[in-house]
Amino acid sequence: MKNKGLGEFEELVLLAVCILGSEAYGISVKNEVEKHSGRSVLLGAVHITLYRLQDKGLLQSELGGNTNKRGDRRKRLFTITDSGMQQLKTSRDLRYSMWQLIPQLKLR
Amino acid sequence: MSQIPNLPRWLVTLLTAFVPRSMEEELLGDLEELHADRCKQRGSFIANLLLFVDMVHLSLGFGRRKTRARNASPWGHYLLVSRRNLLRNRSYLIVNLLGLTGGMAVCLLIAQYLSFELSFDRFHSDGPNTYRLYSTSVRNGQALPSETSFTYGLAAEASATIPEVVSFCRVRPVFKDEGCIISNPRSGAKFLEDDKVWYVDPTFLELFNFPLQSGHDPHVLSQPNSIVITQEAATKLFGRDDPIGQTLHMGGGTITGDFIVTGVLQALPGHTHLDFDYLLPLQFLLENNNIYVRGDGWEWQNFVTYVQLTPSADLFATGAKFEQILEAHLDAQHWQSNSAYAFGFQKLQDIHLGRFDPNEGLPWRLWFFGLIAVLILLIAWFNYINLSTVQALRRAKEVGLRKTLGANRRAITQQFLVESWLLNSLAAMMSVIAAYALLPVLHDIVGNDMPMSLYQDGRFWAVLVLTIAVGSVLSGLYPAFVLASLSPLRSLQTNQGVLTQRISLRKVLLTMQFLASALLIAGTYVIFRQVEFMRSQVLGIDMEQLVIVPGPRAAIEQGWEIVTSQYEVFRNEVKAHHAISSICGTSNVPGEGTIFTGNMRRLGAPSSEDVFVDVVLVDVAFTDTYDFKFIEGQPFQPEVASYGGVLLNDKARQVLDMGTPAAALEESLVISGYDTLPVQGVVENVNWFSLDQPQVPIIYALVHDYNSYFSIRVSASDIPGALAHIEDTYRALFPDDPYTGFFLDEHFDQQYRADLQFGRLFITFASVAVFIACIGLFALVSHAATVRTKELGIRKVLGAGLRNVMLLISKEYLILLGIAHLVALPIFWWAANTWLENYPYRVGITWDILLVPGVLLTFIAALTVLYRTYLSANANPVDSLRAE
Repeated sequence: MKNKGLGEFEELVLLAVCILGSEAYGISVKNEVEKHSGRSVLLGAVHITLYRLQDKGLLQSELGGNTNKRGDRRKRLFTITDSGMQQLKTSRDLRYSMWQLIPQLKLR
Repeated sequence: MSQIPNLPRWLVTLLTAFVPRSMEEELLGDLEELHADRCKQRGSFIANLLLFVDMVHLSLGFGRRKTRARNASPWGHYLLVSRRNLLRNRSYLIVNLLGLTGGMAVCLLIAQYLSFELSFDRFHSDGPNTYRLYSTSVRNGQALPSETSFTYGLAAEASATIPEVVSFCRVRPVFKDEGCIISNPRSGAKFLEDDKVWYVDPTFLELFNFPLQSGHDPHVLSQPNSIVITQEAATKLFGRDDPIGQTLHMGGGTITGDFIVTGVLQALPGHTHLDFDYLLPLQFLLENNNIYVRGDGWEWQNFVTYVQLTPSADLFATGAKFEQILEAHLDAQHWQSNSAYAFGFQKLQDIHLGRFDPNEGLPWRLWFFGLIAVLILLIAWFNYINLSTVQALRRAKEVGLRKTLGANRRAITQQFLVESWLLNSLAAMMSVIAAYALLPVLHDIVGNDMPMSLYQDGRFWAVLVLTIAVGSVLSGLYPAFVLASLSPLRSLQTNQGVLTQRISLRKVLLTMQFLASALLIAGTYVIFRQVEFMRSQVLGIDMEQLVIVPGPRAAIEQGWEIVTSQYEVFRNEVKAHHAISSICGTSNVPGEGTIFTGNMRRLGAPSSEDVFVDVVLVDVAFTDTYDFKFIEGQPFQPEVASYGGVLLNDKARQVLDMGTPAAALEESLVISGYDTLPVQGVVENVNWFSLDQPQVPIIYALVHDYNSYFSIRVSASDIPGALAHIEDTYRALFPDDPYTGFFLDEHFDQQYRADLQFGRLFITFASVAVFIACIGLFALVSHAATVRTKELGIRKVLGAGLRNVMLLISKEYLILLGIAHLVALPIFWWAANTWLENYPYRVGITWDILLVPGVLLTFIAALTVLYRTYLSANANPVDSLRAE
C-alpha cells in the first residue's frame, strides 16, 4: 500500500529522534519537540506517535538505558530505520520542489 | 533536594489496567522521570496536577484492555448443561418446579389482592382533593365508630361560607320503608332494589368519574324527576330497548314517583366503594319526605357528604370551620351527650380500607397477607436450596472433572447460578400462568370480582424480573458454594460429596420451613376458633328456627288502613299452622341495626342528662317470639296504644339512670324532647348487633303493625311445611312483593363473613405452605435414605428390625420438628394475642389452641418421613449391598 505521507507531528517526532541519535526515548523526544516547536506536548501523544511510527516500520526500538530516578524501570530507546530516513527525505524533497514553483514575486 | 516521590500505587494499578503490558515499563518509567523533573522545576502541586492530566490522557489514548486470551463466553455452555441436567433428573425437576411455582403463584395472587385493595377509588377526576366527611365522638363513656352521615344543611352552608370548599355532593340511600321497588310500567319488570337506589346531588357525576354510556351530561340529574341507571339495571329493566326517555316507576313504600331515564352509566368498576344502581335527584327527596319538609336542614343526620376542596386547603383549619358551622346550628342537646366531638376529612382511597386518619397505618390484614406471601416464598426458596444442594452432591464427579480441566471456583459457581436462574425463570413463567388460572378461586374466597390487573402494570414485570434475579442468586449461591469447594480428587474417586455436618444450613432451613408452616396452621386454627366462639356466644336470643320475612312494600302504596288489615290477616293465617308457634312484627331484627338512635332521658331529669339510645319498634308478640327474659315487668298488653309504652334493656336502664329494675317500672322516658313513654319492663341484654361491638343500650317501643320485618318462630316438628305455608300466605296476600324470607341464624352469621373469609384465605395459604414444605421434606429424606442405602443394608443384615431402622433415619427430622415447634410457640402466642385484641369478645388461648396445630403438623410431617423411611427400610439388603 502506498505510503500516505507523514503527519505534521509524526514528522517532528521523527526529526527529533534523528537529532537525539542514541538518546531518543519518551521524555527526551518530548523535550526536544517542545524546545523546537515552542508548544507543550503531552507525554502520551509522544508515546503513541512513537509506537505508531514503529508499527509503520519507520522506527525501531529496544529497552535499555540507565535506571536512575525511574524507579528501576528501563527506558525504551528509539532509532530511525532506513525506511524512516527515506520517508523523511521524500517529505523534505516534496516540500522543497513545491517551494521552488512559487512565483518569485510572492516570495518577498 | 528532598526525596523524589515514587508514583502512587493506585496510579500504577490503574495504568496497568489500561496499558498493554509490553509498554508498561517504559511508560511508567517516563512518567516517574517527568514527575520528578516537574517537582524540581515547578513544585509538587503542579507536578501532581500535570501527572493527573497525563495519566488521563494515557488511559484514554491507549484505552485497550489487556489483551486477555479471548475465551468463548461460557454462558451458552452452562445453559446447555443446565438444561440437560434438569431434564435428566425428572423427579427432582418436577419437585423443585412444583414447589417454586406454587410458592410464586400464591405470592402473585396475594400481590394481586393487595394491589386491588389499595387501588380503590383512584380513578376519580379530582380524587386527591375529594374527601368524605366524618366525625368521631364519645358517647356514654364509649368511643363510637366514626360517623359518616350528616345533616343536609351542613354541606350547603359550608359550600356557601367556606372558600376552600369547591364543590360538594350529598348521598342518601333509600330507606327500607321508603319506596324501593323499581318497575318498568311498560314491560312489567319489577325489582326490589333496597339500598341500591340513591338520592344524590347533581354534582355526583362531576365528583365521581363514572362515565355515561348514553345520555347527555352533565345535566342528567338536574330535573327533579330524572333518574340515572347503570348498565346492568338497564338490561334488567329494559332488555335491549334504549332506556333514555322512558319512564320508571318507584313504589313500594311511603314515597312513590315516576321518573324519566336521562342517562345510563357504564358498568361500575370493581374498585370503588360506591355501590349503586340508580341515582335520583336529592331534590325529589327533600320535597317529598315529610321529615325534611317539616324539619329544617339541621335535624336529621342521614346524608353522607363528600366535598371537594381546593388543593391548598389546610385540612385542620377547614375542619375547624366546619365545626363552627355545626356548633352554630346544632342544638345544645346534641353537644351534651357528645363529648370529644371531632370533625375530619376522609380520603377517597381510604374509604374502602376503612381508614379514617391517613396517618394510621394500613389495615393490619393487608400487612398480614404481605407477610404470608413473603413466608411462602421463603419456604419455596429454602426448599430449592435444600433440594439443589442435595441433588448437586450427586454431581460431584462432574464438578471434579471440570475442576481438573481448569475451572476455578468462580466458573463452577457461575455454572450453578445459571442453573438456578433457569429453574427460577421457568417457575416464574409457570406461576404467572398458574396465578391467572387460579384467579377464579381467589374470587370465590374474597368475594370480589377483580381482574388480573397486575399483569397490565409495567412495574409488576420489572419487579418480577428483579425477583427472579435476586431469587436465583440467593437460592443458587449456597449450593454453588458447596459444590465449588469440593475437592476434585476425592469426588472423582468416590462420587461422594461433602459429609453431612452436625448443624448444616440444610437443617436450619428445614427447621425454618417447619416453623413457618406451624405458625400458619396455628393461625388458621385460631381464626376459626374465634369465629366459632363468636357465633356460639350466648346472644340472649334463641336464633334457631326463627324465620325472618321482610314485610311487603308494594302494599304500602295502597294506604295504611288496607295494609294494617292485611298484616293482621297475614299474622292470623300464619299462626294457624301447627308448626308455627308465634309471629311478631318489628322495625328491625337482630343484625339489621335499629330504626334510629335518639336523645332520651328519664322523665324528671334535666335535659342536660340526655343520652343517645337505640330504638327498635316492636309489637305485643315480640318478647314472646324472641323469648326475651324479663328482669322486671310484663310483656305488652294488646290494649295499650301504639307508643304507649317501652321496654328497656338492662344497659339502657343503667345509662338512663332509672334506678333498680323494680323502680324503673315507675318511671317514664322522654324521647327527643317531646314524646313521653311509660316504662313497662326491663329485659336482659341481648346482642342485637354483631359480636364485635360491645353492649349497647336499646329500648323497645310498642308500635302495632310496624311490620318492616315479620319474625316467625317455627317449631322443629315440620320446618319445610311451615316454610311453605308462610311463603304461600305471603304471596297470596302480597302479590306485588317478592318473597325473601331467611333464617335468622344464617343471616346473622353473615356478620362474620369478613372473618370467615379471612380464615378461608388463611387455611388455603397454610395448606400451600405445608404442602411445599412436605415436598421438600420428602425429597430430603429420600436423599438421606439413598445415601445410606448400604449402611441400612448392613444394619438389616446384622439384625436391626424395621422399626429400629426407620427410627434411625427419621430421628433427626423429628428433632428438627420439635425445635421448630418450641420456637413457634412464643411467637404464635404473642401474635394471636395481638390479633384477638381487635375483638371485644374473644376466645381465650387455651391449651388446645397451642397444641392442636403442633400435633397436626407433626402428624403430617411424621407421615411423610416415616413413609419414605419405611420404603427404604423395607428394601432387600441383598440388593443394596450388591450394587457397587
